[in-house]
Amino acid sequence: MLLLGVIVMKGSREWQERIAVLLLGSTCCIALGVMFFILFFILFKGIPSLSFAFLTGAIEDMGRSGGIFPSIAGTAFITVLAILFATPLGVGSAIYLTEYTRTGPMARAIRFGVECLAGVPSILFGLFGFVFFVLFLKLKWSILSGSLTLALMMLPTIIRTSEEAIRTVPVSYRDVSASLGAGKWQTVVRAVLPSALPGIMTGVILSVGRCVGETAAVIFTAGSSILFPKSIFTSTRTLSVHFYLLAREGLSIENAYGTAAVLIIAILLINLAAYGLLYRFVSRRRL
Amino acid sequence: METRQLQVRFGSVDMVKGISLSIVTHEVLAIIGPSNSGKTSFLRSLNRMNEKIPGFAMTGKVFLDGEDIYSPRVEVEQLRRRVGMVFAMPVVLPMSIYENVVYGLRLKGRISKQDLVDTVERVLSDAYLWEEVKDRLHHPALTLSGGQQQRLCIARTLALSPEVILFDEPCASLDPVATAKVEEAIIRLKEKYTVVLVTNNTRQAARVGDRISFFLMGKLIETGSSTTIFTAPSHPQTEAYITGKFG
Repeated sequence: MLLLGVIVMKGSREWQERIAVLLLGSTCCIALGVMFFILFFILFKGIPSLSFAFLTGAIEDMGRSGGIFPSIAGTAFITVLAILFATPLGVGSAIYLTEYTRTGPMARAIRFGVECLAGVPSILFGLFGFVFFVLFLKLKWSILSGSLTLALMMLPTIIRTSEEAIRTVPVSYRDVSASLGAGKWQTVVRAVLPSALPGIMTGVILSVGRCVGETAAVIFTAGSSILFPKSIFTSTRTLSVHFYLLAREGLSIENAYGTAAVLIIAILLINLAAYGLLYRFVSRRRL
Repeated sequence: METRQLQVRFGSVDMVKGISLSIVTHEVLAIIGPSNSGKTSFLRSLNRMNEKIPGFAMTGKVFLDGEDIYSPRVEVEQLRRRVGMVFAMPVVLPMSIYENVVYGLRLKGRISKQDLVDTVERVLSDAYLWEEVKDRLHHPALTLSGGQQQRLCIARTLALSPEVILFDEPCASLDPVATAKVEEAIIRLKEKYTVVLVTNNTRQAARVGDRISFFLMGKLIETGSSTTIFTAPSHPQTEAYITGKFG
């Protein structure tokens, strides 16, 4: 590879082109190849253990037998709640940062803080959630504690991507809106946000993926109860926690792969659905 | 509408250096001059659109119906409804043609559906666009051509029934055919509205303007009726500009 790179720097232009295409093409192949390998490996191993009973049954014998329905439900509840907490907060701060503050040291400091938060390992969020939500606020191991923790974890991503999305809305939209007698808030709601929505949604979808797959932060805050969650105040084990425990304790490798396959398929479906909705929204407004 | 000793500066750059100019009701006042002569800065101070730009400062007064539009009593949103603006680039919002037209009306508050529908037809007709779009009002506005988009922008401004409409080089990005249609619309608008048109195109000023103001380096060189300016300008710089010696 390195040798080829040197040739690209020195060789004739025609050869440069050929080798560049080859190099870039192969990097892409390697990257995608590894990804698809992992994906198919898990689906290949996991799909045989999927069945209607597995998807809808209760967890029995700590996961050695039975299904994973409580985990599917728990994951769904935690994720939905986390989105409900994080999206308004994140989009709100993004609007404030972009539309209501001038770019100055203050805004830059906030942005830097947000970026640092995005790099904090999830287990630290888990620890914080455990100390603050579970113990201090006495929410116990519960869906509520878990989703609040995940919401905190999602916030930086949502703020960053929403900010980006809002910033790419042309200034001229704001001018036009103002020239038609709109106040700042009206401009934000009617002209800026609708145009930024696809970008904001992308950020939210990215965080949902992270949320569904999160293990460390959730095991600390939502616990690992195998029972069907009765309310948001009860503990649950999400799919990824279930998968982790099955694999780590060596309870049932087949069921672990089955759970992993469900996880992957779920994320795939969520993304497809979200982008489908987005596409419909955008195509109604554009060409 | 009238300005008195209007000065506009951005940071340390003086764009408009003391311009007093009155705009007569139901006329088209065309402002010509080379680029950087302060035409747009002047225009944008007439509906307070400069305020959003960092570093903006001004002195002097701007009156609309005898009222100082920069006085704290004046609500800027209200003012911008009375003094509408059409920008150089046609900027339609990414929504349907219909929604673009009623955008400003919806901001004002509740209006009956029937009123909205009536207004849409009236203002699109005034902007010479109705015939072309009447069958696809609910299509995205971005499907329109550049010239149609600019006429949609005009209609959108008309929907608020402004007293004065400011045009900032409205044909800068349009081809000659589209330009002709926009000009036709502007000429007809003066029956109902007062129009201020900034243009880089002296022939456009001659075709559309009742009176012409010539700006140079942030100063008003002269104002006169279209015929006077184009046949017997009193200032040599004006003559040099309109005959194409510079600018």
